[in-house]
Amino acid sequence: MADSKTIAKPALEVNNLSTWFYTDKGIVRAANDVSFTIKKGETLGLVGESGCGKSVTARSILGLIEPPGEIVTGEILLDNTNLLQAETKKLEKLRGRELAMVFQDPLSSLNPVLRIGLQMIETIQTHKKTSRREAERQALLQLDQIGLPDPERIMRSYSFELSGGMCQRVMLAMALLLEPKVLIVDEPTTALDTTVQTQILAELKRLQREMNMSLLMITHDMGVIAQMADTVAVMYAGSITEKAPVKKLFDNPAHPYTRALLSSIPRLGQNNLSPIEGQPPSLFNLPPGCPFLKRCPEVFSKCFDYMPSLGEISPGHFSACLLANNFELPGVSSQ
Amino acid sequence: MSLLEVKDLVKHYTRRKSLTNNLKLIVHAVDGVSFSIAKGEVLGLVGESGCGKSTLGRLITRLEETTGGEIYFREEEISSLRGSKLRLMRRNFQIMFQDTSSSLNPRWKISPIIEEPMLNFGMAESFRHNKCLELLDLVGLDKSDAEKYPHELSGGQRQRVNIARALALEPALLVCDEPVSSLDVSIRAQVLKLMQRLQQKLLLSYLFISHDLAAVSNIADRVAVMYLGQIVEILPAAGLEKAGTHPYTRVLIESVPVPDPHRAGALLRPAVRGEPPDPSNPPPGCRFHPRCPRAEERCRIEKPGLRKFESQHYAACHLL
Repeated sequence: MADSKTIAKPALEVNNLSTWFYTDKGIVRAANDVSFTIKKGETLGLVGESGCGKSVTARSILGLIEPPGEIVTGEILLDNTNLLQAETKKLEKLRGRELAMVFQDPLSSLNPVLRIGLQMIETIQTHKKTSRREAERQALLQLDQIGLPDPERIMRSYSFELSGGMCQRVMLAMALLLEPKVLIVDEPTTALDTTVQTQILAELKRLQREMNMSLLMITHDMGVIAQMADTVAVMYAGSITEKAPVKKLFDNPAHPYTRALLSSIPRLGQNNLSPIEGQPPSLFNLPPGCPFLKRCPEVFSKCFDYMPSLGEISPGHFSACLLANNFELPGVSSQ
Repeated sequence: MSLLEVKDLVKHYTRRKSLTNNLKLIVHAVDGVSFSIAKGEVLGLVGESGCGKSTLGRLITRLEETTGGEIYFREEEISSLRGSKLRLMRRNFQIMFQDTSSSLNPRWKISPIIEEPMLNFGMAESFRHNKCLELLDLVGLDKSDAEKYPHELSGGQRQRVNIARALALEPALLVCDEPVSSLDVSIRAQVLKLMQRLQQKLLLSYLFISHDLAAVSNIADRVAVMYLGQIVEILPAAGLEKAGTHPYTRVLIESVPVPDPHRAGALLRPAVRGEPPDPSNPPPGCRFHPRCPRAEERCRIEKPGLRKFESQHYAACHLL
């Protein structure tokens, strides 16, 4: 099982992606030199606080960046197709069929004046030549698959008649209708109760296995990451600061930010919160040096000199910290 | 002597069945809730959304009228207080909310926001000004922040302003309704820690309302678990993850995602299915029975009452 995973070729590959926003106040470097790969059937967890660039990364992959935003450099490979160079028509075909996304707020993702059923049938018929009856059958099946009781009633409902948890299940069902190879979920359960979150994550994991689907899971919840991800990438101020298989990351966090993040989450049965002081830096004109240096307990003089890039400290474990890399890092970022 | 005591508190709302159907439905938001909070104690209140925990907070602070039951503050019944008596009583208990931006007037600078409660009680300007600076310092903000507008501050800083305003009248009880839920992970711990420090320093009592059991268990002395308008279990926060016995408490404990990949998989076996039923039509018997993994015939018919297990541990379940 482990072997088949290691040789599996990546379903999605993001190389050196930089997405910047050119605003009146200056350039916001929302995502900087972001690289990762997701293997077939695996889950990559992208963790970070709001404004760290995780959603911008996801939107860049789907081609949803609009002016003043611009993808400055990088390539996004989905089955050897570079999405950044694909024509709009091809991209439209790929989105939905190969690549789908579920957003955090299900209520604003669904159209409030159309019944759920119509929205699902529309999704199918946009991408496949099927009869209305066949599309309806598929939609019902998918709703049942995701664990929604009474799919017929759901199809007749409007989004406001359903609870937040049910809407999010509908969104997942819609995203899975065309059996995408890669699914991006952006904080899919953050707005929900933990009891409902558990149910939805369990369904998601089950369906992922059945469909051998790759998952890019964006969240700030280290608990969800620990439970769902195979590999984790931690983002801070637009850059990936650490990347590792999930167990390595939790057992041996090799970046001070990851360590601080892990010790700042409240845990059941423990009463020793140690918060990270200060706030994330503004993304306008980041000063040179490590973006975490102002809050880092282990900061030293070299940290101010240049922005460290990711260095491999053990097989598959990357950290963008000088301390983890014996004070030497090969690359210096373009800044 | 307890600072706050609530006896058999009830709040029902009525609503129409739908736009076209005029049938009146009664929503049982809070249905027979009793508890007390001692001076200097933090009582955590957890439950899923819609369980009535926020309504309970609003009833205690008299932002909503009760349907039935009594609220005693320092042994004085306050649920029937009116007019100036209520106004004077209010300075003893304050409330703060989840949404850090909508609870601050965007057109006001921070200093008038913090000083407003004191102005309402006729305190002199110089006193207000000094107190405001003192409060800013207390919550870890800079003196210069007094001249800023809310939008110039971050979410964490705005929640600090909310705390400062709530403490301006030196209340004995603070009702905190999801005070850290909207904040980022790293900021959440900062604010939690601050609230903990203030509570100990000023010997405050908190009713700490949250859906985040892990956060609550960190700050609370005791935790009350609420389901569909009723308290199903109330117990000491320390050791809660083991001591919690009510099937619903267990469900809540087991659905907290554990930040430990070596224990992954636990999350993938949900302890409960579905969502809480409609509070306008609560199930008979034990309200949790339709979702309870251990429900028996008796649970469908007979209502369980809170029974004492240990000195501070009560639970409402037939099977315990």
